[in-house]
Amino acid sequence: MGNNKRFNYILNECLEHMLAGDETIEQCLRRYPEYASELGSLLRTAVTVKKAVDIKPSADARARVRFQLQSIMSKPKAEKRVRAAVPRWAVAVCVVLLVFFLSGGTVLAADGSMPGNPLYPVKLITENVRVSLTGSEEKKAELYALFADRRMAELDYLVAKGKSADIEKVAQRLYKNYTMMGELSFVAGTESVTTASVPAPMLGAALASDNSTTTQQAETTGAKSIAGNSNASIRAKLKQILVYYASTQSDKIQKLLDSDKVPESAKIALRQALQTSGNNYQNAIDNLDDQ
Amino acid sequence: MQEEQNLIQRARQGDQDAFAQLYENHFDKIYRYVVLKIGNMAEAEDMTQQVFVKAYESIDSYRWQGIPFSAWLFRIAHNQMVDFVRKESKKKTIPFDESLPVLSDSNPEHEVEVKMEMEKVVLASRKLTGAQREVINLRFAGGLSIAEAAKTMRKSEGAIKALQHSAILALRKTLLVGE
Repeated sequence: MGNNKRFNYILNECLEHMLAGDETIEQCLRRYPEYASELGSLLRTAVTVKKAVDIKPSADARARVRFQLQSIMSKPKAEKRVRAAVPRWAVAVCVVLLVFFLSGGTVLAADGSMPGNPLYPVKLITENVRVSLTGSEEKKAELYALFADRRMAELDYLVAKGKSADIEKVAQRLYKNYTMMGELSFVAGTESVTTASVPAPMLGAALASDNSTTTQQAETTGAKSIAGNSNASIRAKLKQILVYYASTQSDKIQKLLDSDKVPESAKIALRQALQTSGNNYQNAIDNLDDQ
Repeated sequence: MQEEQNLIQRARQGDQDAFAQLYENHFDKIYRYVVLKIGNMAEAEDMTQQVFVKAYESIDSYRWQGIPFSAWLFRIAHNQMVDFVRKESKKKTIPFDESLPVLSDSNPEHEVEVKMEMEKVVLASRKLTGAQREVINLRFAGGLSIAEAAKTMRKSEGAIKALQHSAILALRKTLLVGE
């Protein structure tokens, strides 16, 4: 066995024992004193890496993924075979649609749920479905703005309740929301915002409200839907909505960043969200202007 | 091992409980693997879910033939990640270097500390070659043995050991772990 091969063997042998927890670095080095210097620093590096990546997913994350997986598995075998021929996003949409129609009341109830509530995962899934079912990029931007406002309301709720453990998760979702908004590409004339497969969110009230945490009221009161108007007026309306949300949400994020009730770990995600929101709202608004 | 084969056999016959058990057995390590690759909790959840959906849809095509189920799952995860990274690098929308995972730790101070370590390792691992990074990820985040990592990456065990050595060496330089 060459020197390199022998050293690789020894390094791995020590690692296996250490990862299994039946030997310390020092014990290993005593067995191989001739390699102690080089071996010691490599093993310490390995331990540092192992400790850093030894994370456990939250119970919340595990439950969400399990819920979605069970929804998919609940479909009959025959349908699954058909599904294999269609894109993955369409599969997910169909499955969650099934859940949506079979449990409409649950979905409605979930809309107002907050993190920690058993229905909260349903709320997140329903949001994904709404975006997936929406063909128009303009309407997706509107949805992302709406969902960002929901996240803001959730952050307010969590701060008020002192649930610091959940704040960062919601801040991450907010950041992801803005990222998804930034991925939208508006192509003039290729899609009509009035052909979306889901009812248009009713955001008009949000424009008249000074408090963005009233999103739910905005969604459910008799505010005028932007659907049904001409594309030009819809874009103008959407632009108003985006400008409004861009302003109110950045203010709220800044307030959260200034709050000592928000843990430092969550502020990292909030700063990312703030930066991303500014850029992506501006891009979305610019895209609307270009058409 | 025999028990896992039994679960796989039952899952292939449509036993959802068996697949759910496979999910429970492998979720944590697939999640860790994905988090270390992309360093973002929200994306990691979606990606992990996609890995298990793909596994569920394709379990009929899984054949034992000396390839452990975990190696098969990590191959699915790897392929998903390749697609994801390719897509994201075209869009240039996710600032990987700034993203951090969220941990399930009740002690915020400890959590921040662990996160900082995690961030260092995520950033350091991005300076490795693709193969080195994959070995570190499979071994330390995925918890695979050398033999399992070799099966996953379709390389010899000797090659995996050599990659492991060079990767730790490179990480030592970047992380400046005390001598």
